Amino acid sequence: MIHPELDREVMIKTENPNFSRKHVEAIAEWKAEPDWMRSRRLQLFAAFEKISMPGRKDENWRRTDITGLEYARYLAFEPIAETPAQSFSALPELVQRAFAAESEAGNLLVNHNGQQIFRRTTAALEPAKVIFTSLDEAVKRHPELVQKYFMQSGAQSQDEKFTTLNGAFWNGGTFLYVPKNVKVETPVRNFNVLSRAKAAAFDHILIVVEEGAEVTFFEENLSTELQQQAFVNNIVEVFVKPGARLQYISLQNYGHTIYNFSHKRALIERDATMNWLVGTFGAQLSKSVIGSLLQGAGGNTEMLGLCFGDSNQVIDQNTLQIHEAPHTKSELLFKTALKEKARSIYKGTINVVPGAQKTDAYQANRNLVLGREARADSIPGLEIEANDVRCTHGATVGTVDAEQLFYLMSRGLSRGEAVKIIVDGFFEPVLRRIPDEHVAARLRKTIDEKTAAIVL
Amino acid sequence: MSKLEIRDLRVKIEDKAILNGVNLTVNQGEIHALMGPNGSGKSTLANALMGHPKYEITGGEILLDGENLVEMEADERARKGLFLAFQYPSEVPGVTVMNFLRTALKARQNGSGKDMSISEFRKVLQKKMALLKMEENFLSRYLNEGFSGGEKKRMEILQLTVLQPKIAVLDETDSGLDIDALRTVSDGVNSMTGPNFGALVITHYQRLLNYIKPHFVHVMWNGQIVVNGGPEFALELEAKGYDWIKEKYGNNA
Repeated sequence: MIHPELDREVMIKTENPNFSRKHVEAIAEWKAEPDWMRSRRLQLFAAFEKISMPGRKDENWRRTDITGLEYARYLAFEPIAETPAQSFSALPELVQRAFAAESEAGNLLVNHNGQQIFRRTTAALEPAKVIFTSLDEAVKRHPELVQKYFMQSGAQSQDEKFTTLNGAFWNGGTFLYVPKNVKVETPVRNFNVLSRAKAAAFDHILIVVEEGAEVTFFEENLSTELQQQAFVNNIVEVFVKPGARLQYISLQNYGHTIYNFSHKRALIERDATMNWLVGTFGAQLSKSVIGSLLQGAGGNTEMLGLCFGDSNQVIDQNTLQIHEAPHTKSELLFKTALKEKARSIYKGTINVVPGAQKTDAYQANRNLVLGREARADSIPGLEIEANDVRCTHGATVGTVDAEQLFYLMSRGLSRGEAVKIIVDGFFEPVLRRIPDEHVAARLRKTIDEKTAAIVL
Repeated sequence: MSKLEIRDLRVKIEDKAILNGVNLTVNQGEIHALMGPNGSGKSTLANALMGHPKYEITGGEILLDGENLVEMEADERARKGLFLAFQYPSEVPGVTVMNFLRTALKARQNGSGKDMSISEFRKVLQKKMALLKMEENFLSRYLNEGFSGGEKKRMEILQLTVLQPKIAVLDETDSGLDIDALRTVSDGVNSMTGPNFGALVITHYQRLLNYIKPHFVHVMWNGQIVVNGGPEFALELEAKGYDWIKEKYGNNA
């Protein structure tokens, strides 16, 4: 994967021409950003410069070697304007392919190399004052909202170096705002497509669901076939207000030349519901943090993960279930299948702070190892500082059972069909929970592409 | 008419010889019972016939309509028309019975079967399930997961009736069944009997044979079939037990 011999010092050279203060200013200028955003970027850049590069001594980076990731040689800023797509049929092929029919694309926003190229919404959105636009647009048209929420989820308190880097250099992203008591019926779909080799893409997704509002947001992160490496460092910040409900789904299916760090974080208020379904399929290296912070009594979160690694992919996932208020509930199920030489690391934390009584937290990580050279590591963890709570966790790592395989083959299924049905069955309990059939079909198809050729 | 011929079959597991030359022919239209004490090699024969990878065939032949199955994997044997009802069926979490049966039927028909719609298929299943006293909600349950012993056995027989093999091997299908379930499962098997179906019914006890009437009864000991008889022979065995066989044919397993 990453060349282990390279000097780590190379990476922390902040005078590197691609990641300097000058570049931060250039991005802000090219985007004609208001002063407040420009100074916010510079503030974060100053913080970024002070933070040392994480290394194997840091708990969250211990198991994934990023020595040799010379992120600074990627280009954070290229002043190239993308051509807007005038119609659905002008969209990049890999976006169109995600839909069985154009009619499925109700609320759709496509960002290409960080720039919005297409936006379409159903008739219901505008009168309800739902904002669904690129973050660039939102900075200009809804500054009061962006100022209030941008980098306010505490994202930079974890993995500081890279989240802070995103805050300073963000060069793409999406803003979704659902006003009080508005229930958006049609899922809101967002594509973030990368097609530039050597790029450093810093997408920033900001979602605010006001009191009593409801929405489903489905994000896909894709890249064209890139011959060279690229670096994606993205953030999703979510604010779910009292009694609100967000169903968030992501599908990351980047090409195998991409190194992806991502950080997703939701602040969940009183009686609010935040349901995650995070699908991780692509990238050479994918290192992500997914966190639910339950900050109000009655808050509730479901965290589902689907992950399928192949070839020599490395997938490192770190989940946080942080209970900061009493009577909160979290339920986590992350499932990972690995074939060939893929490797995964799962680290889960349930943290119950003092006073968060009657917390109900569940965490399960299940791994199915399909390749003799594949490997899954699972590190569950509990940090409980309240005494009247119910917290359970469990992790399993298994392979395809020879008896199961024989049983299925004795019914006429070929070895490949038998393995496929076992893998599908492995993911089914998660897929079954997706309420939208198009979304579920999209994820099934992505899994099918991986199960097509499994050699045990 | 199809036939399964087992000729001088020799099988070992992890270097231990279990079958030491088994000879048996099952024609379509015939029900054969294979009895014998525990450890005599009955289940080994069942698994070896179906092609379990753990069982190494060191000699002999398994011929289905003259074609040797020995080198074939289990799926190919199944598509040729052989079926095994397992003593201990595997659980397959996340795979519904409905989805599994459709996939298996498609595989069994080798792509040559007519494409049944889900509702047509459901209708076919309803009839078969009624015979086996299975509720329709079985179809949406995950295959064998959380099934009771009796439910698992009924599931095996449901598969038998859906896949319509030429020759079936039933490995201790009666074990763990109460008398009502035994009758139900037997009804399922009997619905298959006729000129286009042959079966090798493996059982430790005579009880099952009150419901599934065999034409022939064989006794296995030390990895060989040592005694053959007609339907009445099962009752004789029940009365006499197996000790006399051990004495007569040696006790050096």
